[in-house]
Amino acid sequence: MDETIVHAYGIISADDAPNQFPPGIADTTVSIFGVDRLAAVVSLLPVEGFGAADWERNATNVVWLERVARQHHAVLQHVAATTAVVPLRLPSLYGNLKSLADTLRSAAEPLERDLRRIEGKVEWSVKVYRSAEAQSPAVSAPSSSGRDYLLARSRDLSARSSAQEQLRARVREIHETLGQICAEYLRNQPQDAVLSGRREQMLLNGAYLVGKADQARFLELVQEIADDSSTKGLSVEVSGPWPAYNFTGEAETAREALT
Amino acid sequence: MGSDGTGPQRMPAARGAPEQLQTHPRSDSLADVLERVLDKGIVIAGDIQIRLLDIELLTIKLRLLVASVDKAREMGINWWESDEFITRLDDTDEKGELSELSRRLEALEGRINDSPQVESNPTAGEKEARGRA
Repeated sequence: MDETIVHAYGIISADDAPNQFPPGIADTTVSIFGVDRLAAVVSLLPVEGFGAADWERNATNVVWLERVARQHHAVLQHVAATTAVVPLRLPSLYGNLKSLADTLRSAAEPLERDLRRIEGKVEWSVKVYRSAEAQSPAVSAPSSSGRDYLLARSRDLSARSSAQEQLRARVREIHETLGQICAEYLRNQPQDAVLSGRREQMLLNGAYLVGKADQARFLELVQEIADDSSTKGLSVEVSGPWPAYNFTGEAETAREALT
Repeated sequence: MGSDGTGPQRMPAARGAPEQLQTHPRSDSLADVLERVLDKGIVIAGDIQIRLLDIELLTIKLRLLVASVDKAREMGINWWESDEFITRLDDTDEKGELSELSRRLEALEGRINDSPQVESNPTAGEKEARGRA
């Protein structure tokens, strides 16, 4: 291979490194690079195609980005199945292994704190959508004049906004209920319908850090919520387990909160 | 990707109510993966090959896109629009609203077509009035 660059996927504890990995970005071989008590999951990418210039150029190319993001994620997903892993955000490139080692040493303390935070836990995602029938409340009888139409329209709108408020309150309640059996939980911005691929409006985009032993209980609870009659008008979707993307990088989160 | 059994399982959570069953075409959607891989996770700076500022910008763009395609578009961020998957899904919202509007439009058009007859009445009335004078 020609000149290469180091891509780091995530950080694990050196003690519990898995020994097999799926192929990495651009089908490169993934391996472990240990530094003191930590280890980075890495692969060497060709500079040509994955250097800084390529990133700058392709940062606006969602097809390229999707492929790289999915390969990065696939490696993390595999590692997370057996080991606590702190995911690194894309792009995560280092000139050589020595510079990665220096970086790891300087960030060792927060990384170890993150590893302790997620040890023995996994991330689950619960999304709540307004279901299709709640989306469009009964349309008023066809109106014969413009004035009738406007009146009917305003009645529809106020009925819609109070229904919306009830749904929101129910969603807050769902999030808090699920949070009761989690180590940590948070709400992300709802995803836009265009990207989520769903017509329905997303009301909750929740992330839940669940102890491995509590997963079955967590899923039962999600099921109960979905079956509950008060969840009428909502549809609930659960996905996971994910690597703990949402529960690592305290310093990062704190900084972002300021902006 | 995602079909190898190692990816997150996505499942509808409604069992008792079949009309609520939601199946998703992908085991992990593009939005889910982008949201996590490009917005979450940590950045450890060192001899990182890409300036942190660039990562920041990418993150902000992504966050805008994931949360609101319209908002992103308003700010001139439209780089995803070349993606078939996304453009295909776009422009289909508010369907109920649109059909109500087109119903109103049809009704109005119907009235405009009727209007020559409506206007001919005063004319006839005028003639009558003149005839009486």
